Amino acid sequence: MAETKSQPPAEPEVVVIESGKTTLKDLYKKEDWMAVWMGFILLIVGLLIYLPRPPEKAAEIPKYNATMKEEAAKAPFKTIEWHNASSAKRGVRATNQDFAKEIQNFLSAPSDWDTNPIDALYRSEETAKAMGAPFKEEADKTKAAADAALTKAKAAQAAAAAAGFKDAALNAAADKEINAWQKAKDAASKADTKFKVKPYNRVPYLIGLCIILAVFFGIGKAIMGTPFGQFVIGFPAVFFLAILAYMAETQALMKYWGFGFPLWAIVFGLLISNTIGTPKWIQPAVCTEFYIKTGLVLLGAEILFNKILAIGKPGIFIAWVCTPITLILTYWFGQKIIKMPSKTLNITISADMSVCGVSAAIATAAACRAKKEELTLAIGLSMVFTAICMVGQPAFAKLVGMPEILAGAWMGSTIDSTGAVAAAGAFLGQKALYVAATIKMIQNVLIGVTAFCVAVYWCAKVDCKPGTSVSWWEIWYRFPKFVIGFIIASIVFSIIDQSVGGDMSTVMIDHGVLRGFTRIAREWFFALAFTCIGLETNFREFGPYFKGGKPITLYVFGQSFQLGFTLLIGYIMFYIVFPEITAAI
Amino acid sequence: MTAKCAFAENTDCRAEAPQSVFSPWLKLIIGFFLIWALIFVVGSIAQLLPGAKHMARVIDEHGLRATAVYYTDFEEPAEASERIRDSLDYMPHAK
Repeated sequence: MAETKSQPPAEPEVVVIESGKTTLKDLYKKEDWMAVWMGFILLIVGLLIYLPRPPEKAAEIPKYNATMKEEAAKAPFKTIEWHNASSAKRGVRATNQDFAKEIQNFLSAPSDWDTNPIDALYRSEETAKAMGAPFKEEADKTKAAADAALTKAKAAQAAAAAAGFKDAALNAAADKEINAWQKAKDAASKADTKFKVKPYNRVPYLIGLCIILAVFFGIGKAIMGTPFGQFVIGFPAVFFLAILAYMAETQALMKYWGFGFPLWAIVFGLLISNTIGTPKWIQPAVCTEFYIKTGLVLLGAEILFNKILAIGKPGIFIAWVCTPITLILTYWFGQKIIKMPSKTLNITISADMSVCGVSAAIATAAACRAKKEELTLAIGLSMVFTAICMVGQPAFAKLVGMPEILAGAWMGSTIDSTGAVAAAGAFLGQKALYVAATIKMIQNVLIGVTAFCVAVYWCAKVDCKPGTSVSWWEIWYRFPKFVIGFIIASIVFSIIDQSVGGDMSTVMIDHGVLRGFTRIAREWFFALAFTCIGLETNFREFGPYFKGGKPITLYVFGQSFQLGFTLLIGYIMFYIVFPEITAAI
Repeated sequence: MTAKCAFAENTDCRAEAPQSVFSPWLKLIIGFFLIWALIFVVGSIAQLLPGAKHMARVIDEHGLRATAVYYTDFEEPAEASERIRDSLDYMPHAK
């Protein structure tokens, strides 16, 4: 029996009795299994679309690697040719092909807008030109600056080469000029993007996407017993609210604060359900669990275990040692010290605070079967603290003169949201940005392990009568089956990633199947799920969770510990144990 | 054996509009107005906080998606990890 005492007293118990038997019917009648199949279908479709169509330039990758190797052996700094080869390699993406761009157009969410919400859905040719025009001068200026910087870099490199790369002063001067050229090149590239604003009309694509998703999920629900027609009638309303959530995220002022579509989707859903009430005709399409579990199976494919090696051993220590210690300590603090009334809320907040915010909260909440209010509360807390940390942490790092790499590692591991981590890193500089974003990526991979461990722990320990143990069969009965799909997707894609090889995997898997297809679908599924959470939640249901301010105390304790602990480990790893890696970055 | 509904999705938990003197539709309009005020009024005021303007400029300059929830949701982690991987795999000698 689930430990119902862990729930706040005012909360109505929501418990279903499951049969102790698993039958073959479960495979198509239970939502967990259906989410697994639907997720797998999309993953297979993604593989079939991308794997047979590698970009032509992929054949050039060995040549680029050979150039870098040769240049690295020649000079004690990264030469112009080294940078050109690295840059050319990064330009090879399966998603840059025409068919992939069309798929992305079809699945794309609304775009950025400032004062007129229509701009998020439609931008005419004239508007695009008018938007880009003010940046023409900047684009020309930065391009000229980049060309001038390249000329200087070439001269400095030639001087160093003339001395056989033996003169330390000439080498240092060349390194400095080449780095200056890289910065100028980046600035020119960004200015060019601002100048070349593209027109779009998202409306027909969104209508098409709505129809496809309605049919896709409608078939799944129909197999499980919900009439297809009822689902399809309600779905466009949920989809429309999800579009509104995306539009709120992309508004020019809101996008700076890290308040993403999950929060807005809940807000818009809550607004409907707590004013006019969720209409009956929409309710068949309000399927929080179905959308979220299907999205989580897709997310599983994005958990590629090879990524944990991205920055070498220091990254593994910071992301994979500090994070679980913080998670376990925070959960222990919640249970033993402040005595959180709900274990599921405790673990959801602990995971979202210590791992990586919203995505970890979703996976953990689903794995331990947290209530929708608990997930909402954890996400709300995470987003508020993310906004504070995103501005506060880089400001503190700058104030105390923290080295960029240490600051990047510290912020990458401690700021919840992945996007906010990159913003905080960029606040300090390019190196901080790269280290922060990479550490966060390694930490993101921890979601799979966290969700799996939480699911097992809940089945084997938490959902048991005190002092009793359960058999493996019983654990299997209770285990949230979609987690199996989530883990299988992660293992299969990690194997494919490994077998295809680092560079080709980046081109075909990361920048192909995932970013070009399943990632975008996954995001839509989460947007639909959060909209549904709002649509079936009453404001009053949040009351008991705020009693005594325990969730905030828990979050503040965990975050404070993580800030200090990660800074210490980051310093030890990057400056005492592995200084050569720090020097190479 | 029992198991809790994840996110408590059952019909008993579905929200119902609370009763009050205001018309539900009026409350909906007020709600949308409050969201509008949050975005445009509070959002503008928040830009006056120390560091906020600089952060906004940095986000714009780098084309970052500060709201991303996972590393695949935007370009920067891929770019960063590829640059770091090249730096570590093809590390220049005697640096």
